Formats: sequence, C-alpha cells, structure tokens
Amino acid sequence: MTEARRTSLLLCASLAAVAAGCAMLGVRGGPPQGFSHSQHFDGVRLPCTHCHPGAESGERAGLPTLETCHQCHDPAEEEGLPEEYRMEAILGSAPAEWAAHGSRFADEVKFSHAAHSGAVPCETCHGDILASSGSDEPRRIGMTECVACHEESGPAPRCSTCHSEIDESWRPPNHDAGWMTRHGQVARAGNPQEFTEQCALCHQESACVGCHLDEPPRNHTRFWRERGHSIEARVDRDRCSTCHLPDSCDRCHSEQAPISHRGPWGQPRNTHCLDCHLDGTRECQLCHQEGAPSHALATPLPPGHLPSFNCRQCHGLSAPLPHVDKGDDCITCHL
Amino acid sequence: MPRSTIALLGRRERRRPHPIRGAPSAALLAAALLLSPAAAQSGGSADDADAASAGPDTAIEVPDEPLLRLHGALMTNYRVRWTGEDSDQDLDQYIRLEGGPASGGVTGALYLRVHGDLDAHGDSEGHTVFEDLWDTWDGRIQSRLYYGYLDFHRIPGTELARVGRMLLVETPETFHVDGLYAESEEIADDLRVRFGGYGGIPVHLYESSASGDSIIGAFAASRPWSGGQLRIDASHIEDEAEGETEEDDLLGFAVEQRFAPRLGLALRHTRIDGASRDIDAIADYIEPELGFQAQLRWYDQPTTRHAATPELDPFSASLHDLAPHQLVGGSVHQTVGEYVTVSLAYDERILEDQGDESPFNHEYTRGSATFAWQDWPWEGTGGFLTGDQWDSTGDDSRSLSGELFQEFADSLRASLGSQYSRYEYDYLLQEERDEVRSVYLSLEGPLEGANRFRIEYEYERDPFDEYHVVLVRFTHQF
Repeated sequence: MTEARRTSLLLCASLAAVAAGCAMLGVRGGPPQGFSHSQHFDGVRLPCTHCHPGAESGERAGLPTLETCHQCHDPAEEEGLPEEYRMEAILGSAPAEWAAHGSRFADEVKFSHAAHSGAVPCETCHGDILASSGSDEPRRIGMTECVACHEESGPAPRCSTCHSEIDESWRPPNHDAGWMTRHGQVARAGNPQEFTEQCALCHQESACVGCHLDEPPRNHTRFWRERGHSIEARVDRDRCSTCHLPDSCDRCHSEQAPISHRGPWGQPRNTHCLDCHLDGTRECQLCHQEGAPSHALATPLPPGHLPSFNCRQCHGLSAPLPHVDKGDDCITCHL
Repeated sequence: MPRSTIALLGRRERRRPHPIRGAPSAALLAAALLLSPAAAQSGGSADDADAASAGPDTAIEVPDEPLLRLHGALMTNYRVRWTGEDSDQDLDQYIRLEGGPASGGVTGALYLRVHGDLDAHGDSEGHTVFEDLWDTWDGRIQSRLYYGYLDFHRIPGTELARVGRMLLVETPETFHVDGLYAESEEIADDLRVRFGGYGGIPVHLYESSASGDSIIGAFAASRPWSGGQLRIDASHIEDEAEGETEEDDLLGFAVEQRFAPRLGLALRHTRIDGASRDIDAIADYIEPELGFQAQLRWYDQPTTRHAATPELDPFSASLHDLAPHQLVGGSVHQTVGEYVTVSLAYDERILEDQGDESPFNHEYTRGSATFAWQDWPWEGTGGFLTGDQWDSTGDDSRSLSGELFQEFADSLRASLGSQYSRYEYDYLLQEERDEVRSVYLSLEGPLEGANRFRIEYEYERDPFDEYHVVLVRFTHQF
C-alpha cells in the first residue's frame, strides 16, 4: 500500500472518529432550559391540564399563556433573571409548530387528545416528561410510534386514520431532485426515529424490486448491453450486485456468444479472446457448449473448420492447438 | 460485497405495521374488487378524500372493513425499438398485489412480470442488435415471479412466518428463495433477542434447473442497548452445476450502533468455509433538518474471492477470481439554500498485491458530483446534472447526464434529459474509445380514476448506429 493510500485511510478513520465524538458528546447547542416539568409536577403537584387545558378533553393539548404562569408566579420574581430565563422568553421559545398548531402535529393530522387520554397513558407518548428537568420531551413521538401503537391496539393504521390531507404525490422534504443518487445511504442508515427516512411507510417491497431487479438505469443503453457493461463489471463487479442476483451473467455468457462475436471476430487467432477467456479450466465451454463431443457439435465452429474434419489431424499432441488456451484443457477431454 | 439497498428496506418493512398483504391470485383480486369497491382505493382514495374534506376536527372514524383488503397495480408496458432495418417490439405486463383478509392473521404479496416478444427481426441467424436476456429462451412469452408469499402473523411465539418466493434481505448476502422463513418474537426483555431460520430452494431466474440447489440458514439478532443491534447469521448453500454439487458455509457477524438519531456506525464481517471473507465498516451521519448527509466506508477483502456457489459470488463464473483488496470511500450531500442540493462522492480500490492487476482485477478511483435543484425559477421546475469519472488501469469511463423537468398540477410531469458516456479500454494494448449519447423526452401523469400513463421517447447514438426507443406505459392502481 502506498503512503498516499495509507494517508487517505487514516484521514477517513479520523473523520469518522471526530463525527462519532461530536455525536456522543451531544455537540448540538441550543438555548438554555429555564423550565422544569419535574419541578411543577413533583414539586407543586400541578395536573397536566393546568398548563395544557386540552390535554384530556380537547383536540389539542394547548400551551400555557403568560397569564397561566402568573396564576402562581409573581412577575416580580423575575427581576434580575437573565432574559432567556424569564417566563415570556420561555413561552416564546416554544417550537414554531406549537405556536401555529397548538401541537407539534400539522393541522391536517387528525390527532385528538380527548380520544387518546382515556386509553393511552401519558408516558406512552410523552415518555418520562414529568421527571424531566427541561421543557422539552425526553421522547419525541412521531409517525413511527403512532403506527406501531395503532397496529397493536387499533384502529387500523390506514393513512386516513390520522391524516385528513392525503396526496399520493406528496414527498418528504429530502426527496429532492438528487434523491435518487443517495437514497441507498439513507435506507442503509436504518434510523427508525426519522419518519422521513422510513421508506417502508410509503413504499412497498415492489418499489425496490421494480427498480433494482427489473428496470435498468438510464446508462444501461443498447451500447451498454453490448459492450459498456463489461468494462464497468471488470472494474467493479460489486456495483452490479446492487441489482443483479446470481445467474444473470451466466445466462447470456454461456447460452450465447456476446453480440460482438459475429463475422470475423475469431479470425485468425483473435487476441481479443484472451481478454476474457483466460481461465483454461472451463473456458472452452463458453463457445463449445457443454456435452459437445467434438467440434462437429461445437457452436460456433472456428472459422475454416468443417464438421467432417479430423481434429487430431491438426491438433495432435505434437501439434499445439492454435487456440487461446494452447489446447491443454481440450486435450484433457478430447483424446 | 455491498449489501443491496432492498436489504435494508425489507428489514424496515417487517418492523412497520404489516401492511395487509394480498393473496396471490387473480381470483382473489377479482373477489376483492367485487367485495370492496371502496377498499380497492389506496392512499388518495375515495374515503381518504372524504376524510380530507372533513378537516382536522373530525373525530377518528374507523371505516367499514371489507372481507378482503387488496392493494396493488396492473402495469402494461409497450416498447418498440428500431434502427435501420432492425426493430423489436415487446409487451410487458406487471402484476403487483398486497393484502389479505381484513380479519388479519394472514397477509401476502406478489410481484410478477410477463414478457411477450411481439416481433423480432434479425439477421439470417436470427440475431438482432436488440437481443437481450429474454432472447436466451426459446419461447416468445416468458415470465418472472420476483416474489409471491404468504405471511402468517398469529402463530404463537413467532413475529412472522413466511412461505413462498421471497427475498431474504437481512442476511449477509441477499438470498432469493422458494421456501420458508420464520422469525421469533423478541424474548428476554433486557436483551431483546429474536431468532429465526429459513430454508428452501434458491431462485435462479436465469438458470434452467434448480435441481440439486438448496439453502438453509439461521440467525440470532439482539437489540441489547439503546441504538445498538447485534446479529449472527449462519447459512449453508448447495448448488448443482454441470453435474457437480458445490457447497459453501457462510457465517456473518454484524454490529450496528446509532448514536443519538444522527450518527450511525456499522461493522460487518463474514466468513466463508472457515476463512475470513470480508470486513465492511460504514459510518453515516444524517442531519435532515440541515439537509446534510455524509458517509464514510472502509471495506476489506483479505482473501481471494471465488465462492463455489453463485449466491455468494455471482460473478466469478464470468469475471473469474476477485483478488484481495480494500475499498475506501465517502460521500457528502448538502442542501444549499432553499432550492439547491449538491452531492459529492469518492471511492478508491486498492489491491493488496499490485501484481494482481489484470483485466478483471483493477485498482481504481471513482469520483462523482451531482448538482440538483427544485422549484426554481418556477414552482415545479427542477433538474439535475451529474458527472462520474472512473479511472482504472486500462479501463476508464466518464459519464455526464442531466435532466430538466417540470411538474404541473395533478402530478403531470414532463422531463427532458440527456446522457453521455465515454468508455476507454484496452483490449490487449489496443487502445479503444467509444462514446455514447442519448436524449430522452418523457411525459407522465394521471388519467381518470386511479390510472396513470407514461410516454417516453429515447434516441441513442453510439459508434455503430443510431437507435430509437418509444415506451408507452399504462398503470392501474387499486
């Protein structure tokens, strides 16, 4: 391995280690958390509905207002506190979707707290939020969790169970024009917490099979079938295995000669043969099909050969076979 | 060897709610259509439309369940190709079914393609420049059943039991099998372990006989801690070819860990017949909110690859042994602003012994770049430009392709694209170069009901001739 290659390997490993370290250390940033759920629940014993009036009986749980806070807190308590720890700032730091929809769900989502509160414990969706020292949930529920629960307990998780606006042509934001070139990486990543990455929520198995086993990519032109594929397969066969399962090569290469092997291809000792037929163990069979007892049945016959010819007349042990593999393997069988 | 994309998708699919799959027969399809006209509409269907008009304040309603719920599609594909005096017409029919009884317990799926060669005009030996895999069979009508299986969900102790033709996608290599598959429920609450097994006859779509072929395997998988997954696989494969039976034993070990939701690390190792086969390490980082995505990969194949069975090495018969090598690579993708995305990728293969360099064992470097944009300068307007350069000893290729598209209301989409490829190769010191250009124009969109169409024309020019392809596709979804 050259020095440059060692360096590139080391660089890749270093980048991976840095990325891993950042993720593990939680280098994410973010505003300070000035509100503690646990302090309000364990300490003051406030019911959820005190701050979230619709949590048990409404469609949306709702957020507390400044007036809600002032029912217990004197505004004078905030004197001297940094701006970001004041009640108004904390309430204002709620995610935009909360402010817009009264919930993290979009308006079109048919979620009802009233319908769930009696049957589903709060922590099923909100995790350990009552013990949380922050304002945000330790567990953020998404479509994955909804679907899993509905699958278990019903109603059946059809699209219309939760969504009021269903558009078959809707795409997740990351399905942009360059998506096709990188969708494999996301599919392999296997992150179940991001619903936009969960292919199977929208796509059936046939979506994969249709493209990967059946529909050739754009560069698989007619020329590709005749010549281009051999060049790329020789360089990196593993790329072929993204779509091609066993046998697709053998079918063409053993059942018929390549399309290019026409006319004068084999005359007189075409050195092109050596480019593919190097092995010398079973390579004769690429042209001379299995079971052919003599050249009379071999297809195609080498140029200038008639079925009536006596092979040994020219290809005896003392007369080397004018063939790409020197005849060693043929002699093994055709003595 | 890289795992195929479908592998991971399939794994995900089993974790999702089982999407009521269909019994694989036309009779069941007909029955479903009669029994449940409403249910025969998929997402975006009549009941969904009703729900949409009701608005978000509508209470959750459980629609009446039909006896049988089937979804799927019938797709008809007509293709005509011509050049000079040579032409070829093909007609393909695809059938996709997913569903099962509404009472649950059993679901199924099927994907079938029937290919008809309408006419083929070739030379005196019957050869045509449009010859492809389908022409290696005698009949003009051929079919491929990609998968067709039944899933049983209520067998005590099992998460899933499957019978039929299936793709086994969680295994170290993707296996295509006619047989059985069973997976236990997770046991041991702290370790969350599940066991599974499978067996059957490997599917070789292009091989005439499956006589003497078999596969059997088992696995154990665990999710012992948050974000972590462990898996051990063992498979035994037999393949009979030319009167001889070949055997391989494959062992696979995989560790995957996701740190928070953004970073994932995966390490996979396989052994074949007791010897190390490969090690694959992948790190990926995905930040959807920032539109950032990156991946690094290191792959090592320490020994020469020449498996006896095609499942573990489908290309050795044509491409001979694959010499020991390493592969390093990475890709990065970033959304820039509101409309533009840029992707870059780089791979390098390094042979352990440079003396192994041969027509079928190359060192190479490969770089690619993609620039894509959407909704600029008008809503629905987009496109991409992607370039690819592949350098190896003697065999190089370059490609450049681009597409411009416009999406209109009602999912109507028009696109104009072009592809250019240049191949440089060396057939025993004979330096050769070929250039291929193609241009395509396509229009696809909805028809009345749940029907869609696609019309496409493609023009290709290579060093030998010019070729034309017209494709007409009609799809009915139900």
